[in-house]
Amino acid sequence: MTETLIPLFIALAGSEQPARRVWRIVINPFTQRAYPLSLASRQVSLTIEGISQNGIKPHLTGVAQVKVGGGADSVRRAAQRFLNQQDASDHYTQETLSGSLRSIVGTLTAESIIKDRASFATSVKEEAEHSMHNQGW
Amino acid sequence: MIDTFQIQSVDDFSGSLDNLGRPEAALAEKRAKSAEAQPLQEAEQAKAIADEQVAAPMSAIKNMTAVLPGMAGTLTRSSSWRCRPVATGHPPPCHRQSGRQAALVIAGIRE
Repeated sequence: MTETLIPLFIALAGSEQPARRVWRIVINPFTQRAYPLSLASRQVSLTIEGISQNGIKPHLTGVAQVKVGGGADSVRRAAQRFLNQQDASDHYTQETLSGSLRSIVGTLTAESIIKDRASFATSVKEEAEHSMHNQGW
Repeated sequence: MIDTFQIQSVDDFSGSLDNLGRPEAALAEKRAKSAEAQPLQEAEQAKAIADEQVAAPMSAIKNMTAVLPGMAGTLTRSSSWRCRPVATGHPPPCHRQSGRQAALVIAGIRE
């Protein structure tokens, strides 16, 4: 694996100090721990049932490709939130996207959801991006 | 960051989405049937007009054919004062004349 895909993060055990991005470091096993953080893209599938503006209950299925942002800030945020619980990040992403999808479905009519699916998906993406950005995604 | 996000499917178990396009589908079917029926109607109308144009002279010919024997008899009777038997053995000229008149009447009808 290359360094760009899995940078090494260290966090001081039992301290609130933010994780730091390093490429080569000596770990003190008594005071420090190292975790790999994958920057690879991952696929998240979601299925929701929302209520459209005109009262119809559509059953929507979507798929998203997400990854930890490439910037140093994004990597640091993701490391701070999901460093030792990366499996939970998928669930978090799924829930965030589902919430955004439901909120956007509520503002649109069933006709507009069907007719302009691309702009609908873009709206969901924009809605979800803000909250995901805070988590480093 | 979200690289892509795609909506894969939009379903509705209550059937509302299925019914959304039904008015348009019914309108398209109506237009198609109307477009099919119009040439048929025009063809039927043209056929009826043509039949009528043929039937009117035919009925006139039938009527005249029914009238002609009586007319020929009348012609023969009206010209009988001139039509006397001649001892030559040839048909009398009045018979030829009445026959010619009948032929002229039929030709007029046909025209």
